[in-house]
Amino acid sequence: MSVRDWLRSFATRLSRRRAREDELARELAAHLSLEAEEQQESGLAVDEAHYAARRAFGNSTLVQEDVREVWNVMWLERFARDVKYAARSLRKSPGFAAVAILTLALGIGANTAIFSAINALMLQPLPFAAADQLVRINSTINGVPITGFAYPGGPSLLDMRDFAENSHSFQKIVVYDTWRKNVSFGDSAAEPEQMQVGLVPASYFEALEIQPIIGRLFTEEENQEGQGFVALISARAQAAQEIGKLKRSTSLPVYEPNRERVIFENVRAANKGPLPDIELMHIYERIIDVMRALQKDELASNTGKTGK
Amino acid sequence: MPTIMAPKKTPSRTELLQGTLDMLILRTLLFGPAHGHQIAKHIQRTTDDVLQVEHGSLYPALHRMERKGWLAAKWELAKDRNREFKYYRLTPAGRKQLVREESRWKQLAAAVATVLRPAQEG
Repeated sequence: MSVRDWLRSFATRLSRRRAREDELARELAAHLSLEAEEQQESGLAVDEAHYAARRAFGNSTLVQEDVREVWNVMWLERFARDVKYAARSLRKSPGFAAVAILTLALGIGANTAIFSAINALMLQPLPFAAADQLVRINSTINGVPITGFAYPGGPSLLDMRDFAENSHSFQKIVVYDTWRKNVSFGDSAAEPEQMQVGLVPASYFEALEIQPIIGRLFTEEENQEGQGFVALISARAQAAQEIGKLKRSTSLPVYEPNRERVIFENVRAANKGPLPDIELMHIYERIIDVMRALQKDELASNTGKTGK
Repeated sequence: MPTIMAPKKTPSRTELLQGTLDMLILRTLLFGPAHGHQIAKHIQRTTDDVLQVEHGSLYPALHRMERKGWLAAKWELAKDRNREFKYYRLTPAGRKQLVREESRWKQLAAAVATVLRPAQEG
């Protein structure tokens, strides 16, 4: 029996099942009516004969189930026989078996791969809040979106500003950019790796409602250029203030030429350009001057934030 | 499981070995095609109501034997009644099976008889 024959006979068997059920019911009904006739002949009334026949026959649903079980067992036996036969004929022609198995494996593999892609791209929502409301905005040139390989890039910053100002359909508009970059990790022994990195404003995380697993994300204020420098210098000034207090209470001199010389040496050693050493020294001298004045409490306070 | 019970009239129950019902059905059909009711009645009558075929055993057995190819079934009009019944008849495979089962039964009966003889004598 070939696979096609088997499939056909399987389908036929399924469709015949119904007819067979009806036939069985008919067969049992015929038996029951004969039984009733006999009871009538022996002198019972029609109704009584009917019940007597039913009693004699027993539970007809149970009989039907027993017969059905016979069918099922036969079906299983035949199925087992078919499987055995198939396995034997496959073993007899290993070439055909190999091709069949390979075809199945490739088919199943390809389907699984395609489904995973479709599942990830089309069926599963993006892992962001209100993913169904996320859209990507592209500018176009002659109807062709500026994105991907055809026109690398995206809307200009000015476009983005116009979108944000004139659009009332979106809660938030954020700009992002991605590219490949060499990234080295803290562990200096590790090889730098090329990774896809993104450049985003702080509002990006707000818009997508992303929370970091540990630590915190950067804020919109830190986004502004220069903020980082100011924060660094302010942190250093705070430290200088503490040291100044300590020096005053222990009567140590504020000016420490040896320590300042070490600092200058460190700065010179750390300088990798593009500023010449001398220029960097000037900036540092100025910083140290200011910090020294802060330690002596000589600076006039005009910000209202630091000093008194 | 095909079981054959004694009628309610007699107090003793006669339980036969598994597979015996198949043999009795095959044997009954040796005389010609019959439907389920006729087969049951025939077994009952020829054994003087000692063996009563339970319907819960008869129909599963009939269908199983039909599947095995020992019986062939056909819906036919009964001669004395104006209605159709499912008539079973023996196939050549069924005849061979009957021969096999009869010889096995005779062996078994003879063996059981051998065991019982001394007890009857003593």
